Amino acid sequence: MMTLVLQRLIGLIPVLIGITVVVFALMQMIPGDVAQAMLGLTARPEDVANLREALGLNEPIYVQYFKWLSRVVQGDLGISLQQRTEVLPFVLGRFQNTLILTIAATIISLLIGLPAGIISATRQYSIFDRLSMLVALFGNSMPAFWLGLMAILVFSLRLGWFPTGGMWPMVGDRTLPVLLQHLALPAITLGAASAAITARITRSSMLEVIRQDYVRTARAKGLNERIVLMRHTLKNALLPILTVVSIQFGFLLGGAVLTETVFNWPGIGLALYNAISFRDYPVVQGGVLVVAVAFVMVNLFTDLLYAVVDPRVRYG
Amino acid sequence: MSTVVSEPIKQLSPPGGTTALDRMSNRQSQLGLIWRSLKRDRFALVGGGIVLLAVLCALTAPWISPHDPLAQNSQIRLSPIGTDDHILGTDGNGRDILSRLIYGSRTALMVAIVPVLAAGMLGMVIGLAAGYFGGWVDSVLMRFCDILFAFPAILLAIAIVAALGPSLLNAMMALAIVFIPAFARLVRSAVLTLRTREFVVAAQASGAPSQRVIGRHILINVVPTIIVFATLQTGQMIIFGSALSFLGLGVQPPTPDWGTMANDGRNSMLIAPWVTTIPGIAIFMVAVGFNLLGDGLRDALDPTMKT
Repeated sequence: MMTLVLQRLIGLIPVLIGITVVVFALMQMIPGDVAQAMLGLTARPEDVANLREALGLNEPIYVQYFKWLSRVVQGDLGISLQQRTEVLPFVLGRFQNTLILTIAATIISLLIGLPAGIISATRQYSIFDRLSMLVALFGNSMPAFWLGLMAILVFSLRLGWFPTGGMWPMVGDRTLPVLLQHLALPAITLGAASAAITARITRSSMLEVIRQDYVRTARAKGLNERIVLMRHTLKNALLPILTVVSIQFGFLLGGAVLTETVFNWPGIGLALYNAISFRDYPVVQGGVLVVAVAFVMVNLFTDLLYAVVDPRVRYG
Repeated sequence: MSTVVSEPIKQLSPPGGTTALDRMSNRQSQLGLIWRSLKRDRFALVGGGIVLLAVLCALTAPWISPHDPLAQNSQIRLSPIGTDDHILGTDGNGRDILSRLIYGSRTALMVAIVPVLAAGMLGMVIGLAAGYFGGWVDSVLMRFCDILFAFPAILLAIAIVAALGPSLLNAMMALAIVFIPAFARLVRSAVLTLRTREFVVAAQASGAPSQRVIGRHILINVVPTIIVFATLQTGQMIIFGSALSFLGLGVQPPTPDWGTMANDGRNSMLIAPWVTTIPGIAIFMVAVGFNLLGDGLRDALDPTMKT
C-alpha cells in the first residue's frame, strides 16, 4: 500500500507541472499587453511601464514562467488588483465556502442517485425504472443556472421559504440552521444534474454485476435477495460508482461557478466571476490553479480508495 | 511517417478481397439497419424531431419570426404571454420574445455544434495517432490530455474565455479545447481494441501503409462510436454554451441568444417570470432532444450496450 501511495504521488508531479503550465499559458493568451489590460485603456503610459517591470513582462517567457512557478511553490500567487490583498489567503477562504456547497451537493446527489439507480437495476424495465431514467435524462438536460433561477423564483420570491442568495444574512446570528437555510437551494440545484448521472451509472454498473455467474450462484443457493444485493452485487458495483463520485465532484466544483453566481454564494466561483469582470487576472489565475489542484487531489484520493476497496488494484 | 509497415509488398488484389461496390452495399445495409432500429425507438424519434425542429428554426429564422428580434418598443415592455401580436410576450426592452427565441436557436446550435465538430476532429486525430502508433506518441498525447482533464471542464472554458476576451468565437474555441481530451480518449481506447483484430493485422501484413490501414479499416469502425458520443456531447454543449452566454462570456448583446435572454430577465423575475423561463425551457428541450437521439443512436449502433 505504501508503494502504491508513493507511486501515485510521483505520478502526480508531471500533472501538477502541466497544470501550472496551462494556468501560466492562460495569462499569455490575453491579447495585447497584459499590463495595459490590467490597468485599462485610460492608464498613463508610465504606470503601464512600471507594472510591466513589476510583473517581469520584459523578460523571456521561460524565465517568466520559472520565476512565477518559484513564487507559486512558495505560496505567493500575487496581489489581487481588486481586493488589494494577497491572492492565496483570499482564494483559499473562498474555496472553503465552495467546498461546503460542493460537499452538500454531492451528498444530495448520492442520496437521490444511488437508491434510484439500485432500485432501477433490480426492477429493470419496470415503471419505476423507466420513469426514473426519464427523470435522470431530464435532470441531465437541465441548465443548472436556469434551474437555480427557477428555484429562486418559486421557493424564495413566491413562497418565501428560503433566502434568495448569499451564505449568511446581513444581520443576525451565524448558526448552523441559518447556514443550512441558505445552503438548501444552491445545493439542491447543483446536486440535481449530478444525481441524474449518478443514478444512470449506478444502474448500469449494478446491471452488469447482476448478470455475473456468482450472483446467479448466490441466488441458486437460496440466499435472501437482500443479501445477494448488498453483499454480492452492490459491493462489486461500487468501483465504477466510486469513479463517478470523483468525476462528479470535479463536475460539481466546475458547476459551482454558475450556481454561486446565481445564488450569490461567496465561493471561489463567484470570486472568479467578479475577478473576470474586473480584469483581476491574479485572482483568475490563482482561483483556477487552486480548483485544478483540488480536483487532482480528489482523483488521487479516489485512486487510493480503489486500492482499499479492491485488493486486485493493490496487488495487480 | 509509416513506422508499422516494414516493407511494402506489391498488391495484386484489394485487401480483404472486396470491391468498392461490395463495400458500398455493405455500408448502405448497415445504415439501413441503424435506421430501422431508430424507427422503432419512440424516444429517439422524439429526440430527432426536436433536433430537426430546432435546426429548421435556425435555418428559416428570417422568414418565420413575426418581428425583428432587435426592435425595441418601450411602450410594450414586459408584456405577458398571450399578448396580441406577441404570443410569448416581450422582454424588458419591449422586444418580441418569440422572435428572439427563434433567432436564438442559431447561436444556441452554433455554440454547441461547432465546438463538438472541432473537438471531435482534433480528438479523433489525437486518439488515432495515440492508439495506432503507441509508444512515445501515445505517452506524449495522453499526458497532454491528462493535463486538460485535470481542470473541471466549465471552469477551464471560463478561464480561457476570460483570457481571450468574451465573444461567441472565443466561447466556441474554449469549449472545443475543453472537449478534445474526452474525444481523444474515446477514440484511443476504440483503436486499441481494433488494432489487434484480424482484419487490421491482415491489412498490415499485406503491406498496406499506415494511413491506409487507419483510413480504411480503423477509422470506419471508430466513426459510429464518435457519432454517438458527439450527439450526446452536443446536448451538454448546448447547456455549456448557454451558460457561458448567461455569464456574459459568450454571445454578446444585443444578439439574441437563449443564455443571454435568461440573464436579461433576472431582475424582473418576480413581475415577469416568462422572460427568464421561456429561453430556459428552449435550452432544456433541445438538450433533451440531443440526449434522446444520442441514446437511441447508441442502442441502434451497438445493441450490446443497450441496458
